[in-house]
Amino acid sequence: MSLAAAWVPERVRVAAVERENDTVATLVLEPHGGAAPAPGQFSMLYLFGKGEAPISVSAVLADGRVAFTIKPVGHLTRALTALRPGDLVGVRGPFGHGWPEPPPDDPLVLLAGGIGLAPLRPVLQRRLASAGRAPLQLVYGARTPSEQIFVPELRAWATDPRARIHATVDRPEPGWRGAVGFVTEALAGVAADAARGTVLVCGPPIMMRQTLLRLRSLGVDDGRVYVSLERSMRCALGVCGHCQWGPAFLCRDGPVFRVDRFRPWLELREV
Amino acid sequence: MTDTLLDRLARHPVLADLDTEALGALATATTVREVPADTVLAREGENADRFFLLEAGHLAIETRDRASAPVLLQTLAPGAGAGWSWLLGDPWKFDVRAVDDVTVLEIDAAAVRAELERDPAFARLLLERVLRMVTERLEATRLRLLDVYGP
Repeated sequence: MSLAAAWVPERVRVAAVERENDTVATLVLEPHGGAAPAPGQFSMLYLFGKGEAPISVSAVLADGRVAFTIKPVGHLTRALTALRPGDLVGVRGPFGHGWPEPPPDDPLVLLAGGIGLAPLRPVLQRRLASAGRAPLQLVYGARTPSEQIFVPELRAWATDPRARIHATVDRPEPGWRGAVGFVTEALAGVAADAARGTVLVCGPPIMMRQTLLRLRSLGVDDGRVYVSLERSMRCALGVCGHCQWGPAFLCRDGPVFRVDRFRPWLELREV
Repeated sequence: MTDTLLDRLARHPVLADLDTEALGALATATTVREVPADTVLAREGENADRFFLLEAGHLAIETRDRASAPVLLQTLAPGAGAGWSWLLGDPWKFDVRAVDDVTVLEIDAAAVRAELERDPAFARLLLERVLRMVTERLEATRLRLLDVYGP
């Protein structure tokens, strides 16, 4: 991507909109840009008159279309989730360093909270599409069953003999037959795979910090654990400094970091 | 039989690293129970005369609203323990129900309490394990109260 292209949004048409629940929507965008994004990377999505926001890639389809799953939390994300097929959106990217690709024979443990499942979905899809036989475990915490995302896929993933899906909610609703409890309560059940595999964590900051504490107490080495961090990103090119976290610009050096390499900055309250 | 129980107790995460002597004391008070889904293992208000170490299946911790409909508070996965009211001589505060087919190690509270009185070293080891279980449950409850996935 040229420097000019990196600064100027490309007009991309919305191919489809999938409603994940009452508020969260996935925009499937027509093929655009150069290289296909890697799992864990993000793009800047722009709406004229509204602004621009970093949104993680939630799927890369075989025909080159790219999906972004968006939770409406402000005026821009509300407008993005209100888009319809055929609408245009500005796109810059993809940017950043995404998730590592662990050896196909190593166990993979994904720990997601809320909308944090979106950046992990491409990893899960890629692993299950591969011929590898290694176990994959997903612990997915949500506030309520009706606020879960990718529900049909959660059910489909659970039918794969290599996969174990632990979906848990903070607040059950009538008819819910699954687990009730915080993500950290499910970690003992994945500790054996986590201790000899790769662990990817994405969710709200408190959930990620508490998850890292629990993983450590379960004996999981920090060198196996990766987190996707979030800060206010503006330029996405490591220039403006809005997303600086200690020595790193999250947009350029992250958003994914190996925990042992970033631990001092994760624990430093001043940053 | 006792050997088998010892192995099963030793493998249970709640009792991780407990010494053989302490495990032996617990084994004499332990029964393996396999129960089908929806079995109520303990009822709110009843005498808490036992506690459970969950080996397989899932347990639900429930209470009831005014219409006697169950209100699900939490679920427990294999490796969890259920029940600490027995330590305080309190009744069960909540129902414990099997969500699916369940295998538990059911431990007789009176026998364990007698052993706690008799052997302070055993008491320290076991109470530490129970405290760890309670602490983890409390921390998770606090995090749920935070509503971290909120809008």
